[in-house]
Amino acid sequence: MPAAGLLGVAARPSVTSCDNEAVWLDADEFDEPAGVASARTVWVAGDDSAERRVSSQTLREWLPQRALAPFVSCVWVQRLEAGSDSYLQRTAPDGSVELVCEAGQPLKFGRRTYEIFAGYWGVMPDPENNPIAGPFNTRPKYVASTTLTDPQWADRTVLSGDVAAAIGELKAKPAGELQVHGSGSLVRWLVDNHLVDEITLLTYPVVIGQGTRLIPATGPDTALDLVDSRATPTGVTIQVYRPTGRPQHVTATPTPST
Amino acid sequence: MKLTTMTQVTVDGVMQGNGGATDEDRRSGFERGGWAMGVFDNETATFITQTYQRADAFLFGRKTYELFAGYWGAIEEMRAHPIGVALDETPKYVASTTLTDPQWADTTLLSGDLAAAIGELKAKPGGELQVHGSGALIRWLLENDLVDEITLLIVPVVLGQGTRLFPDAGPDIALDLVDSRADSKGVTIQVYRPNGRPQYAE
Repeated sequence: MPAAGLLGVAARPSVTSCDNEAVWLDADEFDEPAGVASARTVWVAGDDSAERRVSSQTLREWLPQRALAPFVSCVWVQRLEAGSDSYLQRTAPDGSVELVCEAGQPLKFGRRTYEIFAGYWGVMPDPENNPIAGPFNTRPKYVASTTLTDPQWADRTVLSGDVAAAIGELKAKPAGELQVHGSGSLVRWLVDNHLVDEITLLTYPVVIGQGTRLIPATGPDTALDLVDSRATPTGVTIQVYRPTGRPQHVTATPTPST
Repeated sequence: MKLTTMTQVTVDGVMQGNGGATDEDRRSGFERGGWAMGVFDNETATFITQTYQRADAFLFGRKTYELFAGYWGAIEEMRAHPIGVALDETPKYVASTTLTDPQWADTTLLSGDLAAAIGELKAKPGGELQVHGSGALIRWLLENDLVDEITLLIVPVVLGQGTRLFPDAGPDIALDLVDSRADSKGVTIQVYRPNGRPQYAE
């Protein structure tokens, strides 16, 4: 089973802007947005504190109420820790809410991300109606940790022994998708051990100049196939890569630039 | 003139050794050079060539200048290449405190107040002052808010070593994405314009 990582590689700038094509709704403006009626696209951005207001219930009730559903492409970028985790969902033209990379299969976390998610998605009210909390709460969750002993979230398994073997067993199952969200240390370990089948990067248009990078300064080299690439109207680019083994390095004369 | 940069980077943000590891690279332990060789499709190669051709002036750091001078400026078949022709015919500026006698025709050495010299060039009406390679120079330009446009050619490889375009500790910059596309061989081309400092959630 492929293990996909949905990974935010930088933080979203918290901006509010408005043009004829799109409206950014900052959390504080969500209840009283301006310029929405004439916009073709509505983008909803929430940070940790805003999320409670920008719930799926809100999306379902608020957007159709304004007869916007046919035009709405809703991206909800939620950041749990600065620069570390971002998730993306969109509302399709028919009003249904979908997650990028959603596959309805087991989710996998490192211990730090698991603890954050469990204290967040695991305890929110009305979780079954939340497009992210729903899957997170109902599907099997595996946590790679040598220190977590008593995970509180339902349907969870701690992988603390031979993690490579345990993941190998999961991947050997005939189909489906084992997803990794956040979990930087785990992702680096999985990449080092050639266990990742697909990598989705959401690259935000900002240079941060500090913080932990997804890919360490010193590590294995990997060739990639680009299988999907697109950009959102707000400048986030989404690239999907599949590792294909080691790259070939040219040792001949340097040929700069082309 | 607006100051634009064009940089080939890996998915992990490394810019060192795109065309191959130099002796200087190898002495510092960098051995994974040549990661951009043959990775561009014809359309991207044409885009790169046309970028060089539209430049009104080039600005280099010392290392890239010497590399280019010994390659585009010295090897006959490279001099005849459209990029070699563009480089040869266009004014070149090199920022260096150690270089004393640049050999390539139409080269001006900027060794004094670099910010003032670049400010003067940027104040000229119209045109494009292009930076290729020159990682240390680009980092300095970004710190000094002198870059108007950043073109990244992102090669689908994780390198796991080498110098990155953006330093681990450096300025934070909000960007506008003004162009984004992927070529048929998996290279993505992103064009950004710096747009002040980012805002952060509490």
